[in-house]
Amino acid sequence: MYIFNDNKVYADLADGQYIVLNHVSGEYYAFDKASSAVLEALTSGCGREDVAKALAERFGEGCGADEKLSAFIDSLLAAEMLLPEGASGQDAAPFAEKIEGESLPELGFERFTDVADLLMMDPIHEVDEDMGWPIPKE
Amino acid sequence: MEIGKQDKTLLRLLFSGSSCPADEVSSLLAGLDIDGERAERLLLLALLGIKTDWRAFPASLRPRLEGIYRSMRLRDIYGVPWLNGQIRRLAAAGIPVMIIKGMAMRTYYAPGVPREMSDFDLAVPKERFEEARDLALSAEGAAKAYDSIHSQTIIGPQKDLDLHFRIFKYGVNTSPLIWERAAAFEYEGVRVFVPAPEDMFIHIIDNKARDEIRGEHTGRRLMWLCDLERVAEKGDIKDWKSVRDRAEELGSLYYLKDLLPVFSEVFPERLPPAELEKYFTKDAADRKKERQLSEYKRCFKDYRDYLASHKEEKYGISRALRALSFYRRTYSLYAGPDYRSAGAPVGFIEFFRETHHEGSMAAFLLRYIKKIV
Repeated sequence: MYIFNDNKVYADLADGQYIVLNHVSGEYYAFDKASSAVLEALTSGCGREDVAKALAERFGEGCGADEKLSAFIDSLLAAEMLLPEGASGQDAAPFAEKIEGESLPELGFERFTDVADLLMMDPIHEVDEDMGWPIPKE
Repeated sequence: MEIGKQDKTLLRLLFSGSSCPADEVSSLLAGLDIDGERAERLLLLALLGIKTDWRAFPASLRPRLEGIYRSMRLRDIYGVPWLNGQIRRLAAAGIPVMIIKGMAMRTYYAPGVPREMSDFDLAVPKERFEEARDLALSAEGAAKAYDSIHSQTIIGPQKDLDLHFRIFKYGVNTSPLIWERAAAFEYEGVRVFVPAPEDMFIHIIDNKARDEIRGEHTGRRLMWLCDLERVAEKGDIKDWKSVRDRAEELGSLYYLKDLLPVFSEVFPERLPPAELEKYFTKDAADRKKERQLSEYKRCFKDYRDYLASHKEEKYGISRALRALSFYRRTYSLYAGPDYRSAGAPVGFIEFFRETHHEGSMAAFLLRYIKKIV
């Protein structure tokens, strides 16, 4: 399992979606619901293997759970969002059940630099109408 | 104060439990001009969209509504790590910490619900206030701003922290009573407090009344109603006589009588009209206060208009003090005898010396007044 690196990041989970703020670098990381469910599992006591197994059971053996999960965890560690911690044996299946759809989507997050600038942006009038905040209008 | 039919429908749907008819949502969205709408209403529409899994929402609206929801969430957590550090420092020193106002909603009464907080508010017992203030000011990134009759504002790296020794801002000092009933919970590994549900309910009204009288936060017309309902739901508030008695004890009953009719209109299941009439009907003394407050509102507006129209004027401290004296007269009408006996506004001269060079005297006074009321 993993824990959030509290020295650098602050994570907020609401309505099934994480937003994570790196208060040292000023970066903001946005997660979709599928990646949020996996991140929640990893930070709630589930081990890496438990999560991979639960995803494989949910989406089938050929869903690429190992590869997708490994890449996801590597990116979280590279961004210094998580720190490794001993697993506590939490069941990962309920988290995998939160992921909608027939196939396991790619897991990841979007990274936005300079949160102060993002917060200065008008979230209705200065954003791309098809994407919404924080994607600026062309 | 009145609330529009569409806003009433929006709030009703938002708090309607699982039932949320698609045709009512469609009708609510008909004619919505997203470019001309208030951010607060768009945020509440986004919450309704999430609640209904965006059924009945036109695809063209969804990206920007989801975007405003994300932006408000980020806005809310911006500065929270620094605030958490402050809470841990105070707790480590054995100073009881009460989280109040927006952050009390965010951490305890409605976790995860975005609400656009412009600053953070904590309260400590008055006898530990100076120690707490010095501790908070010694934290990395903290700088002193201004003190007031109820709190010390501390500038943080991202957001300000108002450290209160008084929780309700006017009338008699009721903070010890609020501490007596405060609800304890664990936050970020430390034991902290929030006002008990009834006190939080009254606290929200208290703050809304102040905004109404000052003509501020006019863009936030609905959030206080959402907060009231969320607190009433979490605290299972049903005994309105008890709320009335407590409001009387805390010196805020008039403001409940003034604002609860709107709440009852939007949430009649929570506060039935019969209960409203039984416990929160204005009497002759309330009518007198209503007239006084209306005079105060007029004075305050005139004063602000005057300052706004003299932004560039430079004038001396004697004139500034005269203006402040005028302001205090009107404020004492609103705040009651406790304020009149409080003497000179705390820190005025010090604040003046530190900041008068930043812009005109009028701008300075406006900044100061915004902090003390």
